[in-house]
Amino acid sequence: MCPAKKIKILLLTACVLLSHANMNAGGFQTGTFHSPKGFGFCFDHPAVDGIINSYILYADLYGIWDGSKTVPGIKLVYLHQNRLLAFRLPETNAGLFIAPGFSTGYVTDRGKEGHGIVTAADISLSIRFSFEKAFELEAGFLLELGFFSQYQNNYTSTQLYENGLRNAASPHIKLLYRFR
Amino acid sequence: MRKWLCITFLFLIGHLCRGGGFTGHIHPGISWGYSAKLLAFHHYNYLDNSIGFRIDDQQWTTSFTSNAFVQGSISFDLTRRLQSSVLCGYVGIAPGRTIVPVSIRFAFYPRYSFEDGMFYFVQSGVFFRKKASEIPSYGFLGGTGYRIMLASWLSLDLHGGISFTYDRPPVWDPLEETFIPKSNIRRNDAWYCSLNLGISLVF
Repeated sequence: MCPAKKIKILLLTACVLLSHANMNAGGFQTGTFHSPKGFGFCFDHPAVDGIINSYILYADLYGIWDGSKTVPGIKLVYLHQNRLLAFRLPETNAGLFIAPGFSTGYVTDRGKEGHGIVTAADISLSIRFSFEKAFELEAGFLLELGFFSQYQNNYTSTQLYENGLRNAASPHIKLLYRFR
Repeated sequence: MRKWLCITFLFLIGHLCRGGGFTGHIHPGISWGYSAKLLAFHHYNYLDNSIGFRIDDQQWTTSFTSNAFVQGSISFDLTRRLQSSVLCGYVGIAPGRTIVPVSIRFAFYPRYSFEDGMFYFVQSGVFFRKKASEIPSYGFLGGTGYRIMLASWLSLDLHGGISFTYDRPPVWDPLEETFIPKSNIRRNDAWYCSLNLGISLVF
């Protein structure tokens, strides 16, 4: 399957997922995703109190930092965030969230040549701050356990997605603006 | 180079020893962002063994390359409108060239530093290499930004600026397709001009 077709399928998946978000429940937040893993955009939709559906679309920058690769990957992450603990700081509501989810993308992986499709089950642990001004800040870690598939030389190889395990130690920060 | 090292470390020590005159608030922070190298100047003078001549080459080049930076900072409120910071981190300045900068920044807030509003800053420092044998370099940065007070304990700064960095990169010999030995180099000066865009969280 050619790379352009793979990216089209990925973006179509993103549209299908986002179209199921119930915009009428609790407003929504949009913002940017920052991590040594990559940069991108995020969209959060609170379902009920203490539950947030998070979508992240980011450019995977593995190999870009040290110049070993020149073409970034693209990844879509969905997380169903559940609040474990809520606490209050000055002018801030904060919470500890744990989130199962899944991710998919067209990326590169450690020790492998070229791009491939990744599908992984995710678990995320993060702290989220909701400020009285319409901003939200989330900082956390994401573990991805999944497979990396490549089609090369007329056969498909499927291996463990190593970066999903190694990048679990890389923190991420989300800066969001709260609408409604 | 020694003069820059002395000036920077005197400022650092002055900050630490300063008793009165500042409001006493200290703010740790972290910043990260994107750096685009737009302009470069180099002046090389080296002895080329293959042809037996001395090569002197200086020129400006416009070459766009992308880099990134991440830094930690400790800021001191000198007054309610003036803040000084010590920054240290990891910065890319050119392809294959990364530095560990130790810098001093002075920022001026026309409104107070604890309110939303614009700020303007200048920054200078010494840039160390990962290899201890490499000579440190130095640079300057000036720019502006906008501070958003998310809460009384946390601010989000969006900032941009122009930086000038002095470097002594390895000199490439296009004929021999190898780097010139350091013993053959008589002069090696490079300046990079970059546009920096960043985000900071200051506590």
